[in-house]
Amino acid sequence: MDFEMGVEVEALRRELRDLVAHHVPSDYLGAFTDDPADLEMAQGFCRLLADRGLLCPAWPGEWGGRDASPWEQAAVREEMWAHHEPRGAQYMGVNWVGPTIMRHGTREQQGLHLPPIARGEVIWCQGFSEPNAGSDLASLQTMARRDGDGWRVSGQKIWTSYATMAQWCFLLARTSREERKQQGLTIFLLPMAAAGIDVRPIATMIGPHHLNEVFFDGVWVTDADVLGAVGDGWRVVQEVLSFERVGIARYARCERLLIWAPAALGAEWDDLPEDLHGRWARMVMHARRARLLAYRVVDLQSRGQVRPGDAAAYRIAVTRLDQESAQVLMDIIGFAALGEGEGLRFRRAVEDHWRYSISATVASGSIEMQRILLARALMAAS
Amino acid sequence: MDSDFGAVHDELRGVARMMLANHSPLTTAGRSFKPLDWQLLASSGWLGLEVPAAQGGAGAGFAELAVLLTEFGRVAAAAPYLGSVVLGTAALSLLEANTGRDHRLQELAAGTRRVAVALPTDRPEVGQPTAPFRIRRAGSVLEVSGRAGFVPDVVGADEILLLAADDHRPVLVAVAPSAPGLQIDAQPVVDETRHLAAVIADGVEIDPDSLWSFTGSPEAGAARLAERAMLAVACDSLGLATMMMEATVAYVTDRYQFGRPIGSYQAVKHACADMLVGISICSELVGTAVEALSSDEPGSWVPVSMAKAHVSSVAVEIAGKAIQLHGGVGYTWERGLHAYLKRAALNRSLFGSPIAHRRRLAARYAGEGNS
Repeated sequence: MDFEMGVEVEALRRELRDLVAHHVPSDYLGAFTDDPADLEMAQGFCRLLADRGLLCPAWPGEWGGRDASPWEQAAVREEMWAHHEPRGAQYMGVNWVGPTIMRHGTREQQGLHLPPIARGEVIWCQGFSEPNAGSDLASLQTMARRDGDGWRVSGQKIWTSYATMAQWCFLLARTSREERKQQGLTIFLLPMAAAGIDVRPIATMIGPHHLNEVFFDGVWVTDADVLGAVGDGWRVVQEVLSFERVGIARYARCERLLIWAPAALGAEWDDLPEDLHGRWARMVMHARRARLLAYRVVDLQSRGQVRPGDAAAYRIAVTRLDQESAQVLMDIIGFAALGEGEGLRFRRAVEDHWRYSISATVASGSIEMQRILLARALMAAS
Repeated sequence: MDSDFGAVHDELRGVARMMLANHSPLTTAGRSFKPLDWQLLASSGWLGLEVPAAQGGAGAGFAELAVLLTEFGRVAAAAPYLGSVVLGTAALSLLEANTGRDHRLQELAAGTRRVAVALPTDRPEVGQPTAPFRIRRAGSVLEVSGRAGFVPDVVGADEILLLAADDHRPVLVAVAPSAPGLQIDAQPVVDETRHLAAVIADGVEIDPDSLWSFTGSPEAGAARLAERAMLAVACDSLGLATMMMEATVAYVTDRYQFGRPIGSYQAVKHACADMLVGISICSELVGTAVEALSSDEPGSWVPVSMAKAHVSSVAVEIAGKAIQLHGGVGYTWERGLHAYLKRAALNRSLFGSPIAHRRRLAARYAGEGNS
């Protein structure tokens, strides 16, 4: 089963692969390692993509894109994630921060934020979760209190990816206490350089420099930093989350690693137990099914018809694929020597995939919550 | 594990649990995987559990060792116990008596010597273990060559025991880590609590007094060592899975979202119930295998393979589910659950993957089994 997305998309895909082959080291496993050279590589790669109009091709021309089809953007997502995201943290800006600002931002906010995202010069982080507001996000306690003609933000966010390197934070805070906890929430576009912000890294098994706690102590923001209407944050966040949940083309990395396995193992591939070959083939198909679900969401999104359940269904499929394919790949490397060269690169990529996949069913909404969301949508429709 | 020794086992378990309580990555903030104090293990009598009383040991059996191994799994203990005690002591005990052997057993029990045993592990096929090393005799000179990968606890061992073929007959050969021609390459694995290495011997000259024959059938001796390794790993997985379930139940009772404990949601409750079902089955499988191995039953490899295949794979699922139900904190370094998941993953592939064990079990029905 191959997916024909048209000559433009295939040409774009070839161009991206060519750039990866020439500019991304073959042992690259992501930007957030203990080696600062990896982050530097990612920053440079973003600028390279931006120069060629490949960082955000689906954006409108006025904001640095070239009005390409959503399918071209999907190809960018796939090729980048498949190759361990050489854009580093930039995918957040391109996938959802930029589009959300286009939709809800003022002209000034658009002018301030969109060009640097399109040029690949800026890193954003997302200030949503709090220690006691995870699945129950709407119960968050970070407060923005009115102070003269601006606001003072105090509170704590957690699981904030890339906060140590971000210049801006897409922050959700409470601006008033209303009858329902979903009311009275507001989005701020907050500069991370502001006084009163303390970022503390959280060491995790998914790799260094990923997650952080962010403490806000009376951080000053102005009305110009409010995105959309005061008190209307929850609605915007729902939209953001559905963007974010389709934002990572996890299936592309799964598929690439699976397809790589026979070549990486060489002669040892044929010696694998037959049932492992079978499980491998099943995973390849699972990856393609997840890809189809992603395409369905892209299609619905491009026609403005996406419902919350559609993104949830894709996410359930793709996060399970992430973990199940990681398990099959770990079993495969257990049977092979893979001590040097391409074999060793494959082993390291698989181990990284396995570690990272652990967070797939928790990050940006646990799989349990996705199931509840999907079931709710299903039952509301009946 | 009901036996006449039930009370003894309960006491051993109770003492071990108390002594190890603060050593789990769940309580040490997961920052370091500091090895357990070897001398403390020696003074507790845990290094010489199976060593005969004449050599300063406790003269106990594998059933007692299994109790400890499960407790070590509970705390994901970092200690060279698998290499030196589970395999080293047993390997020496399976040999024909000689003074060199008895002296070593004494030192092992006292904790003044540590050994590692190089069995075939890097191609995790199971069956009659093929010796990864071979002996070459040139006149009066004896040489050993070969390679074994993923050997536990080689680094830091005073001596390495190699399972070698001497004219097709399995024997054990003791070599010093510094012996010319011997190479030890550390093999980093995802599990930070244990240390594995490849042992490569290229014409290492050996002292004829360091070449030992097994008592009775050498094949049976070699197979028994392999079975001990497999079952030790299954005990470890049982212990760690049980700890993961207990930690999860405690967490989902304490953690509130939407104004209620997350453990009150069916998705979470059902997952915890499934953990308990899984652990109950694992515990039965391990108990049966321990009994078969410690009473030296013929065909003990069958329950051993069943336990290794099932428990090592269920433990990965339980540790994974534990992390899932802990949400974000589940994969933080500080919480320490990741150490369990990685250890479970290594256990799954060490000394035969579930696929390899199941294939061997299935072969019995095709009339081409190993027993």
